[in-house]
Amino acid sequence: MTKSLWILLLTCCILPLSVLAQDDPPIEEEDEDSFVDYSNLVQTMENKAFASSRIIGQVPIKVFSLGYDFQTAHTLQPEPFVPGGAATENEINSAQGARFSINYPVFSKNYFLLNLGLNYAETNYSFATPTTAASDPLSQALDNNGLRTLGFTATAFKPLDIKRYLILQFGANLNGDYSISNMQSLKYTRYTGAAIYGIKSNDRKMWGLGLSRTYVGGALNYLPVYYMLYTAKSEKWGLEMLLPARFQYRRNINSKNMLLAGWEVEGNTYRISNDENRYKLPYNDMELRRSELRFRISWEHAITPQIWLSTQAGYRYNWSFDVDRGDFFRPFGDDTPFLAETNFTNPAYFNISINWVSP
Amino acid sequence: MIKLGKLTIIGVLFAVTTAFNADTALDAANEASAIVGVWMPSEGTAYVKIFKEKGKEIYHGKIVWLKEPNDEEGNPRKDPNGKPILNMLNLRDFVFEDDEWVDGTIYDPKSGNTYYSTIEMVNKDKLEVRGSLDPFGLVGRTDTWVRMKTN
Repeated sequence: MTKSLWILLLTCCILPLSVLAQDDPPIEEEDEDSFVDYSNLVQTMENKAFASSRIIGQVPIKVFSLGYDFQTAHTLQPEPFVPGGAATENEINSAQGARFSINYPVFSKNYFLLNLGLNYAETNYSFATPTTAASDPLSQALDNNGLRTLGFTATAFKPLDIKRYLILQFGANLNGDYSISNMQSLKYTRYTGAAIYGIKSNDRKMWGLGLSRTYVGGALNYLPVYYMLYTAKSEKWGLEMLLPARFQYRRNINSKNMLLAGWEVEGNTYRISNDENRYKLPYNDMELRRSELRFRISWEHAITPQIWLSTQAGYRYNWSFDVDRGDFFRPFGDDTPFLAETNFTNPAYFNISINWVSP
Repeated sequence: MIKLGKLTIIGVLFAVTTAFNADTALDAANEASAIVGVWMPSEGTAYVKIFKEKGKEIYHGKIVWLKEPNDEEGNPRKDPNGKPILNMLNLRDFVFEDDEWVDGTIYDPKSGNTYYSTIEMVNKDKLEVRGSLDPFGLVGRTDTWVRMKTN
């Protein structure tokens, strides 16, 4: 079964090469018609024009992506979870893990586009000094299982006409210190969403404004978002952003290479399980509010027109790695005390992925 | 009562079958060639003339009209490979099978990419043209084209 899947995937990836390799020999028409003034033709029926979801020169959409993320050594400075509890500073040699995502267009017509996606990401922490029962609960959880995210996304692009469009996005994520063999209950699923109304000015620029329900800052928040894709007239550079979460300047070197510079905020809330009272705490509703700001440079390279290699290097700045009790709306500036605040020093990070793209 | 010999019956059956087969072949040919004509993709910025290749049951299409044939500098518009877009062959090698034109490719002159393609006729004046990354049409996009006629 797995073998068949690989053969299918390889077929999908390799066959387009032969398509692209073809040349254009002249072709004789069966009924070469006499002169036709094409500018004088009229439509036999209405065909409403709609804005497309892309612009010229943008980074190709990743349909399938398989990657690996690595953070260099940094220090974890935890706080006790109960007065007088254990909290020992510890060195993390590395934080690393695999990432996988699918973003599949299940319905793709000019008047409506629906993509469904699945994503999985893990972060495994390698501590310099192995944690013990005397360590704080967060360090133990990170050392034992690391953090995992398993998510589902649905993104709809609805053009209203040739200029205006709507984007609706829904996400459901299961985040926590669970392992694949010991999955977390679905009742801890966290939901995100966004709605954007936008204008596509031309084939090189589209932008939009909207509202999102997001965990990008770690805890649940409602934020306005600004979306923009832009390519300069020269088609040599552009901007791609979804503020405040993502911004990148794009340099189109040629059709096979792009350089990007910018930032991305990665955030989520993760359930830290105290099932069977493993951490000897009087509660079992801990949520790790993780949010990190990644300043980065990326190189996107086409190995074939459909297979792109993406490599990133950058600096991971810790925005939040604090623990709350329960999942609740925490707007910016909210001074509700955390159960435990954690300080992280900031390491370099690297990310590499191989992607099957829709150019 | 008229009596028919064995040979007469066989002769009549042969004639009917031949006529039926000829009609079916003619219908199929007519059906296949229904795609021939000038079509406008939904963006409305170009017309594509679909034609049958001489002596073959294969269909192709070429861009015969552009709303903006020249770029900002007044030069003929070109694709990323530097080839003029006007009169470019952008549909290739479609064959008619099971009410669809299949096994073809479509070239996007904006991106310079070629995709696998199939075409379905919704009615005599409307096509659904699908371009896909894979030969099975799993990952792709469908556009609606309408037929153009003389004013």
